[in-house]
Amino acid sequence: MPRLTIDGQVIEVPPGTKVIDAAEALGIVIPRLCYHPALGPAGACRLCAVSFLDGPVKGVLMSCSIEARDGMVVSTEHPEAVSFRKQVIEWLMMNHPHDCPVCDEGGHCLLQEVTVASGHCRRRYPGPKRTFVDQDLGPFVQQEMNRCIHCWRCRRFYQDYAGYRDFGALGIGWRTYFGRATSGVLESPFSGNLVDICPTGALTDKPSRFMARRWDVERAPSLCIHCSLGCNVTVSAHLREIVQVEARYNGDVNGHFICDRGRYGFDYANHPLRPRSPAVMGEETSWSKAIAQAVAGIEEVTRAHGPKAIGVVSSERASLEAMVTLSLLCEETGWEGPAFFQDEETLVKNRLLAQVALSHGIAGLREVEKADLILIVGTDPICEAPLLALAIRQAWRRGAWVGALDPRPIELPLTFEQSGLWDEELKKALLKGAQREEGLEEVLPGWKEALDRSREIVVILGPTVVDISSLRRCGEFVSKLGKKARIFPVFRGPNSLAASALSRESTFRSLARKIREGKIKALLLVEADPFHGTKMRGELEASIRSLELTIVIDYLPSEVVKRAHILIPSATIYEGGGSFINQEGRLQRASPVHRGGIPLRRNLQGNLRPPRTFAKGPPGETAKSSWQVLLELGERIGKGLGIEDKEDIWKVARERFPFLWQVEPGGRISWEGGGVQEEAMEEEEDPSQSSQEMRVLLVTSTFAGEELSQYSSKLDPVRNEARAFFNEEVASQRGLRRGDRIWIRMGDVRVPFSVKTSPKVPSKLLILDPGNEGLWREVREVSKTIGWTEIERA
Amino acid sequence: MGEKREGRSRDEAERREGGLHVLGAIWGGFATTLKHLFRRPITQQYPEVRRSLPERARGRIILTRDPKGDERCVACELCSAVCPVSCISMQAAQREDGRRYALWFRINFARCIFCGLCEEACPTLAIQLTPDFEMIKADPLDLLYEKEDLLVDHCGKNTYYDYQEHCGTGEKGMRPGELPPVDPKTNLP
Repeated sequence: MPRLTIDGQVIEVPPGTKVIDAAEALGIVIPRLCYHPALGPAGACRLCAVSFLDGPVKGVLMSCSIEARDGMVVSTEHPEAVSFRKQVIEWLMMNHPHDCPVCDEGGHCLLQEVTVASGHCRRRYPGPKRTFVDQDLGPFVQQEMNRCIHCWRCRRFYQDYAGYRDFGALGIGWRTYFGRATSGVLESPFSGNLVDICPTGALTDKPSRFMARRWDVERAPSLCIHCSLGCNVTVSAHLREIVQVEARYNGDVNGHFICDRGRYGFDYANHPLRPRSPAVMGEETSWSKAIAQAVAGIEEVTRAHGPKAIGVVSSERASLEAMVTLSLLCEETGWEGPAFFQDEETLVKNRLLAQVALSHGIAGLREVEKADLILIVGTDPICEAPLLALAIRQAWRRGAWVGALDPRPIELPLTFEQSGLWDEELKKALLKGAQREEGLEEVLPGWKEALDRSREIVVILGPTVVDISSLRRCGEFVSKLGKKARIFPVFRGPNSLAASALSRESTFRSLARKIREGKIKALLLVEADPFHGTKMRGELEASIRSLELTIVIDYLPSEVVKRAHILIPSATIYEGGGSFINQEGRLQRASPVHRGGIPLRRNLQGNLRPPRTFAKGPPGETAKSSWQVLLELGERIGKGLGIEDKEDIWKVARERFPFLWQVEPGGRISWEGGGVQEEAMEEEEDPSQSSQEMRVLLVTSTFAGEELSQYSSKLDPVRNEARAFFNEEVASQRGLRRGDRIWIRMGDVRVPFSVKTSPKVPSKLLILDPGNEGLWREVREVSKTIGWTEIERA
Repeated sequence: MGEKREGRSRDEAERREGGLHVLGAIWGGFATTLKHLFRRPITQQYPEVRRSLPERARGRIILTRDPKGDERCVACELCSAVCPVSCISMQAAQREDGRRYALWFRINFARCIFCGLCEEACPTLAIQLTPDFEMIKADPLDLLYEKEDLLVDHCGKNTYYDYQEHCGTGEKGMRPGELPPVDPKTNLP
């Protein structure tokens, strides 16, 4: 443990620590531009110069590049170091355009900060400035190369850390240009991080361009709820509008970065069609009237058919507060539910996955980064949990071996083995793997060798593609691997783990069955849209239409909202905050960011100016969180829960659901899974296996398919079209080539697809990615199998 | 104690001088009045007569234009940041030619204290205070000035400065004091 003195204070740091970090541990922040904890030192900006007065090295040196060693005496305020830094700033500013007033970074710019701190204010060099021509880097990142100071952070992140090659450095010396070979959309789904790490205004956020200055925005720590990872973010709101989401450092979860889905998926909160005021039968009304109507409706149904005639549906995106309130309310009233999942299969899969993962040691993103053998089973990281891909890459950079068992053509920014197994074949392979150590060698060459030298194994497991018995098989397989193996579960929603823990036997499918049987007459949907990603649209529509009463509490302009008898708008995570349990069982809380209301941008009048009226509150009533609405409903029907505020919910939940709430926020829950009943695990019969038919597998992609981000207009430019993945050989036999346009007939509608081929796709499988879901609105039922007769060339 | 003693001694002195001192003061006052009776009055009758105030007097705020006739304001929000009473608000936007401008700009003169900090902060010399101070309105809402009320058709106090010439939307490398753009695809000097 080296002991060194920095500015008269003595500190002992672990070996390998850089002097700049040692100083930071003492609370001394040495100015830096190129150094970033996640990217390491580059020694490019020369700004972190400090004086080494005594010890193994002496003189003015870069603190980011020098490891702390015993006996070092460092002075950050030595006149020599200070004047050196001042000189450096002057050099850096020599070619800077000094255009802070029109720069979006102005106000939170690292370069601005260090320049002001150094006291530099006049450019003494009279010569001309170097210039660059900018490129269009797509919808997320705005480039202004003149402002660049060549810290190399962008290139180091984009190519080294994230592993994409289309953005990098061109040229040499002071002419170095950071960009693409030609203008074009950045390929990486992590491109938004360039904005965060750029210390100047060279790369700024395009969607929030010119929206607000940092000192004007309302900012609060929040969570990303666009997948199950639960990345930490900071959200900025301005004039009743969410303008920007940035990564917030959490060493236990996401580190410094987030993906573009999380960064630009926030716009659902500003959606022009977002329900803002309560409505009864499609007509806007007041809060009190809507609540009174809902209460009257519920009481009527209860009187006529009993409490079991009211079904309650929620979803995996509801906050833990809403889930707990709903569960308590259902217990109190005897309503049917709550159902958090679409069907029994999903519920069982989620529970089983939680159980398997929790009993074998659950892994989070940090464990993935540390692992030296990673096996991906039934998960497409980039599509389902993008930041996971970044974590896998970090492990791979340290020498980890990565293998994948998935029928989809997975794309990851690293080299890995993939075997396109599915269903029976996957089951067989996992069984072999569970029986013998080298069992997977046949399908994943290199497995045996990697297994022999591995110390920490992480098996990434997702429930979307894998069926129930394969999940179970995977559990056996992991227990065979022993103590060094952990399971990293990937769920669908941000609160899936809590949903599977709080779920009873009801699922949406079981409620729908009861609706058809006439047992359920009313449905209460809390932040749930059964139409999202459904394969049975026709059936669903019929059931919803046959209901006597549909009460929807939601903040999305979803399809079920349009069909609601009584609509009560709720607050998003940005207005109401909430608690969520991420895929590794970590309980995290989000703070409310702003009060909400209709964004001023949508309320401009006449000559594009804000309205000239006085009002007590903001237009568009401040929505209440769904749990507040539920409590009010419960109170009004005489089933009050005695809960007043969030603290009360947490208190009650700690008693009632101790497995979820024993921990403080930031900690992992102590639930051990469970509640998986054998009889619920009936598996569907394998549909026709005739040679002409292909089985259909519905998947989602990074920017299309996730429920919330689907409503974000910021992601519209990067959403992919509907794609159909065929086995390469099968496709070429039928004369289909990559990029061809086809129609697939489903019922009486034809859906257009773009053909993708891959040798990894099993020959009897057709993988469909709906892309922009608008195309699917007319499909009443997605077929389980599709024959070649139903496919035609466009 | 000292003060008290001093006061007493002054009273005694006045008593000694008697009425003569008072009389002199009265005559002096009358003489001054008499003198002014035959002078021309220097009071100006406002509002019939309006003095022109110095150029730097701080009154109604305007948004000026650059010498080319385009809006100077780039909506950088420095004026609203520095404003001690938060009476300036705006929304920046991008014009078709890429130039940053104020989509709407509003000053609440009911709140403004005419301190002139906004003018000092403005990097483009767009926001300026004028000597006009007569802004009486019956309705406080009329004191809410919009961009069209603020924007004038001249350069204000400075007739030559054009911010856009230095760091605006012009073509890269073609503005004064700039080298031609670097071609990143060659390493030749």
